Amino acid sequence: MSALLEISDLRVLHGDRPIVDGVDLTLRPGEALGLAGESGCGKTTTALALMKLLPASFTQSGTMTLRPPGVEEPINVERRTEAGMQLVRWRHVSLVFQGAMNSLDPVKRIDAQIAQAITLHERPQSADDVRARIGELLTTVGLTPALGQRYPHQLSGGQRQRVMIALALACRPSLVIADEPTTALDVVMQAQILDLLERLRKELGLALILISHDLGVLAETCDRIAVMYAGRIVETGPVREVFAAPQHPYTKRLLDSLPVIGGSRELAPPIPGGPPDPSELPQGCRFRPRCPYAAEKCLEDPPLREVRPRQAAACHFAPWTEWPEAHEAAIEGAAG
Amino acid sequence: MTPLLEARDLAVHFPGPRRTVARAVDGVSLDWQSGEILGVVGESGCGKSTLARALLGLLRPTNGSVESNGVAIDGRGSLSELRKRVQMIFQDPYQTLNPRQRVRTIVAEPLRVQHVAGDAEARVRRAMEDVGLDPQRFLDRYPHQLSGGQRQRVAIAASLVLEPDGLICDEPVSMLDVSVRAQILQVLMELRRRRDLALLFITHDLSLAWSLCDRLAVMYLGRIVEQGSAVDVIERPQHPYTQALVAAVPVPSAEARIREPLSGELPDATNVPTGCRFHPRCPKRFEPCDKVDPPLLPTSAGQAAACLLHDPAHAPDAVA
Repeated sequence: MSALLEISDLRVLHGDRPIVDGVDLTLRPGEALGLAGESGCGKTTTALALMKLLPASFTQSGTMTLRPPGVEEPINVERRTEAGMQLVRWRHVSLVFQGAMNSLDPVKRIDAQIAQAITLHERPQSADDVRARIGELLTTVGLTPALGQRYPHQLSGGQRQRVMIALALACRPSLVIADEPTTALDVVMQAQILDLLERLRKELGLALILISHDLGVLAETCDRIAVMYAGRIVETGPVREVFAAPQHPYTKRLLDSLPVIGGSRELAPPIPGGPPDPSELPQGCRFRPRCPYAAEKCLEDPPLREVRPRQAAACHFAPWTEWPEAHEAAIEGAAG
Repeated sequence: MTPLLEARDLAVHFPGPRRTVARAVDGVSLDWQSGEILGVVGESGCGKSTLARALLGLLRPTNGSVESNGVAIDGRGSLSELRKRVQMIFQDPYQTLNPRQRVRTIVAEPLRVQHVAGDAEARVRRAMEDVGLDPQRFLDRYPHQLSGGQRQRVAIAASLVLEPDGLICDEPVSMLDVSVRAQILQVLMELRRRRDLALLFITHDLSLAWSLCDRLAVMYLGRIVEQGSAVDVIERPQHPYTQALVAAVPVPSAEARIREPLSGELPDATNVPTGCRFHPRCPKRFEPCDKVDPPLLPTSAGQAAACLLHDPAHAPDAVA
């Protein structure tokens, strides 16, 4: 099967600061890819670059090709003008961003907001058709159609997030990007929304890019994961393999710092320091100053390469078969 | 062990819309022992933050009492004493630090408020070293010159400067990235070890509560529904609500897991269901659950649970 989305050598500069620095990604139709990493690593910028929604102070380069099923010519996102992008956004790719549930129009009923999204792209339809489609969308996301008559403030956070997902689905896109869709929600609501995304994926054949700093959320929802650090992908592979046998010290330390119920209650030593400022990137491997395994060789930039079947890591010492006792990296100003 | 704080049948009610009453905290009895890490977990709206504020005397209880060392916390005098013994840090250090003050002023503030005599500068420096901030580098900075983790460290330093016995932490790391969060937790654990500081963690993060806390109280709609050792409560939950919460935790593991999410949402505190508050969402409810309000009783597993399944007077034999 050909890829639904191919991103090649995506670079985003903010002024002269590299925010995303050579990212390659492919996504098959119906696949769920998790984009992990901490604030500032470039994961949200990658998504916004794909939608061409970055503010004018950012410049982007690289190629991004979409091949939605049923569309003959591939869509070269990087060549699209703003007018051209308007035919792509929502129709082929939609975005549910962080805190989106607070971006519903407070003075418009839910059904009116969904109707607006439906009629934005599809040819004029009869009022009955639109109403039927609104009901269908609300049912799809697990809400009763009667809820359409309410205003956003009459809904709970979880219900508003479901409405946002309904809006994202309004034009039947083949790819939905969800940026921290459950971060503001409690565990129970989070579980409900994640289950919803999983069901939609199965029922609608939707491909999903899920952006989250919560590795647990990604583990439960995604087929594949890409871990970003300082603007680059440092590790990628099937979720299970990456979690069972991480191949980059950053992934390893991130996983270690999360308590897992039933595992060890001892807190693992935290990763010292913080991620580098994009205007002062360290020489060679960007994780080097925080890495307990850093050596001379790490002053050279490690390429992202396949180190186990289907699993790639940007570390000179990968594949790692065991993790030696870490000596703490001594770094300037350890308080992150 | 003596309790640092003791809540007896504590209730905090707020007036709701149209003459309703929001029963945010509705009959909670809880001991927080000296040197203990106590966790209070539950969904947003369960009353855990209101409970924390009432324990600190920031909210006046509608009913019940809070005692510290056998002294009731009510008037101004006892409150001021309490502040020296128990301090609080919040979720969002962006909102709690005055943007126009330097770190040295922020950290010294509690000393001024409490009229503490002596070498303030030395106490400020010591508090900063305790949280891993080099006074030399950070004393003269403003909050906007700090990272999120550094801001939370400054907030902790300010809460430590009075050398309290206990620290109430309301979601102290939920806004921080994984690696920064681990650093802050290490700071708190180190303080507990070195100073025997008691911690009260208010959190919705069950994995975190499980790994850090000695004891846990699970709250639902203003009540404690389960209470006991953190390991017992999370690894062998006895209340159907705790069981559902634990099952909802996403696990970063290689194993796929089957989840049965709890349906529905937390009811409004102005509209508390009759009988057991959890019964409308409970997968295990039976005959009298909609009529009988279950008391918090010891279970065979060790912890206490407020569920009729564990109440010998009601439990159908086969179900428990």
